[in-house]
Amino acid sequence: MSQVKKEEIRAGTEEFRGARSKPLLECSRLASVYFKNYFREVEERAAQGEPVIWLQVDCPQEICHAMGLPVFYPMHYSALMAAKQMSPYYLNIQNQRGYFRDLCRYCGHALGCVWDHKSEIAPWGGPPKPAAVVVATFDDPIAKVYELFAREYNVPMFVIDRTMWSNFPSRFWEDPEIEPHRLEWEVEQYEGLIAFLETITGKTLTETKLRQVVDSSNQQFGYFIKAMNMVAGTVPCTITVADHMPNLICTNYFRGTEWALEHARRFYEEIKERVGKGLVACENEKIRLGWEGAAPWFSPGFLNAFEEKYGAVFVWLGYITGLENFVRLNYSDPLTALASRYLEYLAWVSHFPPTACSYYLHMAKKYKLNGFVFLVAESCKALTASMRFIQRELQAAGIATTEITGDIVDAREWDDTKARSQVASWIETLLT
Amino acid sequence: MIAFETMQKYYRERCLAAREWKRKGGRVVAYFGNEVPEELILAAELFPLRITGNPLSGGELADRYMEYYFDVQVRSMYNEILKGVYDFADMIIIPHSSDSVLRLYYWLWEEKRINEAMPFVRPYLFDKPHTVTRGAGLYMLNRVRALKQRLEQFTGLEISSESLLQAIALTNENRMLLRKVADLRTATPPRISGTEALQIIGASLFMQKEEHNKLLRQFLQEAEQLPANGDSKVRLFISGSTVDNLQFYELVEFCNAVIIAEDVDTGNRYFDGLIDKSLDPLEAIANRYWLLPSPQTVPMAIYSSYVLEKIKSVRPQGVIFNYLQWDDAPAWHYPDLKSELDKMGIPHLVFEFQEYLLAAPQRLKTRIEAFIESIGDR
Amino acid sequence: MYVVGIDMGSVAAKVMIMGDNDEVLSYVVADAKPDAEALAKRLMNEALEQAHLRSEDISYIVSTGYGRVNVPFAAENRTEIMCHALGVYHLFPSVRTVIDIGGQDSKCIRMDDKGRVQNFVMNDKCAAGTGRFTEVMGRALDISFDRWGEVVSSAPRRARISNVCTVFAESEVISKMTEKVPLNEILAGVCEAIVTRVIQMIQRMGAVEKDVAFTGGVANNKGVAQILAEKLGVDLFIPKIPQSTGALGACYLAKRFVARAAGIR
Repeated sequence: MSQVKKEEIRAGTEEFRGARSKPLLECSRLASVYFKNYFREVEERAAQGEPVIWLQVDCPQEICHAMGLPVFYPMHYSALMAAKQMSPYYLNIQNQRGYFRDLCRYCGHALGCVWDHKSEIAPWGGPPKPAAVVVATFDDPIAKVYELFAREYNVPMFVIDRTMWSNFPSRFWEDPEIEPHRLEWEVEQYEGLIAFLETITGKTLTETKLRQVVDSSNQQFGYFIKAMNMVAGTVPCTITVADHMPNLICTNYFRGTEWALEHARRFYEEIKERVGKGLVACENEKIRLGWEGAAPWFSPGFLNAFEEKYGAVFVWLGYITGLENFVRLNYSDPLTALASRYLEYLAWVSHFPPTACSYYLHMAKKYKLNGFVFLVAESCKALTASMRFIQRELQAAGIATTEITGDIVDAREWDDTKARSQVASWIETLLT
Repeated sequence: MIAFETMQKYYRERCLAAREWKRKGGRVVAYFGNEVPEELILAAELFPLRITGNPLSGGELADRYMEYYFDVQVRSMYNEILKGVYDFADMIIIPHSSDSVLRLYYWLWEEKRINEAMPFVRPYLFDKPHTVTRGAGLYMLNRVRALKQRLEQFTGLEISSESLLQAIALTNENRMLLRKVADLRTATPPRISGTEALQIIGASLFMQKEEHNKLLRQFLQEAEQLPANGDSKVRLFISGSTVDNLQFYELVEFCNAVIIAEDVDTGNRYFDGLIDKSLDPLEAIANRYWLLPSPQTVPMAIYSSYVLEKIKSVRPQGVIFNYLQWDDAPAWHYPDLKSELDKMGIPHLVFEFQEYLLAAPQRLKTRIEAFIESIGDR
Repeated sequence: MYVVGIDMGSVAAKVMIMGDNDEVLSYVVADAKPDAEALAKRLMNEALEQAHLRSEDISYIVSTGYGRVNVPFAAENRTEIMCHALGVYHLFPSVRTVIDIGGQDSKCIRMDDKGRVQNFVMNDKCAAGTGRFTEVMGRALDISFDRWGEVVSSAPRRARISNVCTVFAESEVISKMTEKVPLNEILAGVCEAIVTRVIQMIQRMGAVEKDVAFTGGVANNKGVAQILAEKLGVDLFIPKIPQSTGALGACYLAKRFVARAAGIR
């Protein structure tokens, strides 16, 4: 095969490279800058011999933050790879190694980069070498993907075995009751994780610091909740999902850190100011939409593409469901607080139908949505299944829905023109 | 051979024995997967009936709410349940195994929420852990105890240690007899085909264990009379997704091959691993079901090693990997297994993303025949 | 000694008669028909006539291809995988990888230095990466097969065709034509799409081993051949009649059977 250059890798994806999303907040810009700077910092610390922990987003990162460990998230890096239009190249590497095309691509995607070992073309110079990897058994592929990371770098892996919900109260988000045996084992596993990290890194976790980080994370989410309550209640909307992405998604990666708390406060203040001044995202707002799941990372402008012509604004993003429930105030012990947070997070992000249906309807009413677009991403059952049930619930309540087929990171079969045309046609039916 | 024909009958008419049991006043627990401890169900004097799909049945009911990217075999099971094939089951147990199977539990729950009149009972989730740490073992024991309690509530009767030991004796005997059947497949030449073996093993999932044990003993007694199955047939091992019907095996064995073993859950893996009678029965049951490797086991090196060990033990001339559409978990193992087989010099063929119903077998046949030709050419 | 190789493909049937010195005495082709047996008989008669032979002169007949079991007068049948490999081996003994793109399927065969199949992959699930794809696109763009080479060479860049499905890819091509994307760029994009699908299939076998032969009807298409060679970074070995390698291999196989029966190694 001929030598591949970065330009050649990206060449076939010209038509939707240029379309950027349109965040309005200063916070969004700051969050994006912080992400990149944090990555550089982690690289620098790794170069100086500090142990870097690779972590999946549903693992208790608060423990790592409390220990002052530099953390790298393959899932976030995967999104970055897609945004840099590198997904076809890296996914082809995955396939060439014998991993079939229909397997996990969102989290599995980073494997292509890890195997390629070409820092000169990898986004931001490629991932930092880990000292260990930490994963939870969220779905079939993820622990396997992390095992392959661990194997490639010859480092140990810690696995949190995730237990599953068997009962759901009807308004789950108000009163989630976690079975004691599940909570108990989750906490025990966190104790094991702490011992593992202390041994690998030589650092110590103090209970004081852990409590501080958990308290900070509660405050952080508190600000986001207050901010998003304002966003929900404001018509026309003051921000679109373009601002959800950098701000809320950063909650996935910096829970309880000083920066994240300060950023959440800034976010809240900026929203408050915008609402106070009556600033809107789209003067022409006619239709308020929800987007289920992550937007296709390789086409970041997609979600803003319908504002100018149709006044169709995406005001809610299903990617960060259950935000209200990240706050944990009634626990004396920080590990139990974290365990309950992550066990509940599992239900949200998995969209298990008994709870997802009523929650989505609740959100649709709260944000005054006219419609929902569902991205059918076949390679990620865990994040995108139960759409049919949710759609049924929404339609019964008079909220229009539509589906488009695509992927969160795999651009190989994405026809951007066709997808936009599909959504536009649907929007036109809502306007008539 | 009457014994084989009887087992064949129960393999084909899968609810027959369970319905007979019900008619006599018994109760039936329908379940899926190798993860659910049958011994608990047997000790509660209930009939354990494995839920399976049906390639010849449609998918219209499943298609309403199950997205197209679910494991095609699970989709079929979902459809069968919605159609009412298991409407006579008094209890349904779904394990936390693959992503699709786990979601079967939630989908059935939601179907009932939408329409209470759906023709099945609300399922019970058996939350089996996937790792192999001490903590996972304790959690498994906790879940086995919980299932025991649930069954006791259901029947109103206590499940005694004695009844557990009796159930263990029954299932262990079943496993040992099936092991002897497995030996007939690896004999030179093989005495039974893979297609026949699937039916013999499969009958255990659909009939009373005592009855199945009796038939197995009878079958083994008559084994000497079995014709030798052809020295010239290429001996193959099958790896990958579940095989709950005969299509694929029939197709492969039509091409001058004989399937001497497999790692699939409805084949040899079903009866692998005896329960340790020297332990407390609940602990012994928990250990056996927890530690039996599966594509969900973490880390995946455990299941890969298990498969390779099985392959080495039977020394096939070739291996065919067969992965159903959207059955992700076993497919992740393929590159490692392929690489090891290459080192061992064992030829292999892979069918990825296969349909549940083999609608165009001719195309598969060409590939299988070409594979067998290439083995013969070596 | 005269032997016959019959390749009953899904799109075309071919019959070849070979003589003692491996010379091809006749070669006839016809479109596939529902009554495959009758077609095989007819073509057999035509081939015999062309070669000035009678049926009693034939020592052995081997059939191959999708419809190989529908030739009752063949002594043996073998898959097209084996026969293509053998056919190419005899034409180009240095070849270790055969890429065959036919009307309805595509395959890649790896063979050893004796023409024995070591590994193979096939795409027989969808039309993308097959001759059918090229037919549909050629019609949409109104560019005949024989001009694809020159048209693709003239394209300064290649349009991106993202759809895997032939039907949707056709719509995509038509959209691009409406958007006034130059035809040569679209065609180059089409060829690249075909080659990409084929290479994805090949990569399932691991690295491509040289030398590489390109056979099947699509090997006549210089546009596809150009881009395939470029992407693989090799010079391709293309038979004069690329669709004939199956029948050719069947003839060599027939000779082997004759030799075996005579106890000759």
